[in-house]
Amino acid sequence: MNEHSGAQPSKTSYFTVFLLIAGLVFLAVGVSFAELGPSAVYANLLIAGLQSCLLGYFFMHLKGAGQLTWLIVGAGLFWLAILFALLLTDYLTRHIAAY
Amino acid sequence: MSTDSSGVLAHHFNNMEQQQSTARLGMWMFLVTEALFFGGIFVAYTAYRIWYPEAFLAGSAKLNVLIGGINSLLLLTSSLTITLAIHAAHEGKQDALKRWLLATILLAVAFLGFKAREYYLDYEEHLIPGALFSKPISEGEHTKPSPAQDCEKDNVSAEHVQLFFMFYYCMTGLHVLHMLVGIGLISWLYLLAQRGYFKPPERYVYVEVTSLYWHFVDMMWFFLMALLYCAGPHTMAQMHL
Repeated sequence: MNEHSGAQPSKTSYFTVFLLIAGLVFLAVGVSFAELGPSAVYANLLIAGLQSCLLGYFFMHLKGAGQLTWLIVGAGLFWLAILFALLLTDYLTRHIAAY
Repeated sequence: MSTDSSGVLAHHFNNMEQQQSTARLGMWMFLVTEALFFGGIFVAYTAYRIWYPEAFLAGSAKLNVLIGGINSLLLLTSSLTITLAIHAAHEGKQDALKRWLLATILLAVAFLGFKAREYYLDYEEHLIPGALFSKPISEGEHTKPSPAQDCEKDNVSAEHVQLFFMFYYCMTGLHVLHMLVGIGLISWLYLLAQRGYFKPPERYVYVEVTSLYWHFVDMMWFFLMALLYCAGPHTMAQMHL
């Protein structure tokens, strides 16, 4: 299995990533003051996505993880995509009282 | 975890690396199920937000983004401390391991403290779906309009804003439950560390798999912050504890 042998990344890299994600927290709060209206959701989700990618890649040690780990992560995202796609196409195409 | 009394390697694994990989993969598989678990409520939120965008923005505007931001930083810092705990376990540094685990627990408890304060402030402002939502807020001699009256003034449906708050309480409540489980797990790790369980450095992987769960809980919070708190417009007047 192509797994990392347990060699740990440096502490400096952890602190750097921490500061990056913390900066994104401030950005996220700042965006909420910017009055972007409905399109703020794209900025919010982009920021949350970036934070999650940094957290996953560095803190969760996806960097240097084996192919099987990446396959499981990919499978999870794929199933999540199915969940969103099938549920939303169902509900959002129904002309029910919610409208 | 290990059935081998003389060492760390369990009898049903060929080598240590296989044992450690198995532990990590098992936790990743569990996290996939957790993603789908949270995914359900996120999809429901998405559908309703697409249907009632103004109401959801109006509801979000009432949330305390200062406490939300502080909680984000607390949880992020706890992710850092648990990662440093893995580092310590890997290097066989027992005192550092215990310190970082304790720091993680304290940061998590601080998060829950701020959350409790936030829920109390939401109660004071009558931001609870149901009868309270329509009740004016009495502050001594003055009376503030109820959230339902604010909705009428802003020309949004009070019913739909209450729906937003149902999502807010359910989603943050689900997150709090996951935090409690996480605190339990990390506390258990601390007790194990106290008993010298992590003296063999190979056992760092059990701190790592717990950290994977904890980072996932942190990830969920980033999305809760984005969808619940940051959706609506906020003002500096709201930045209070």
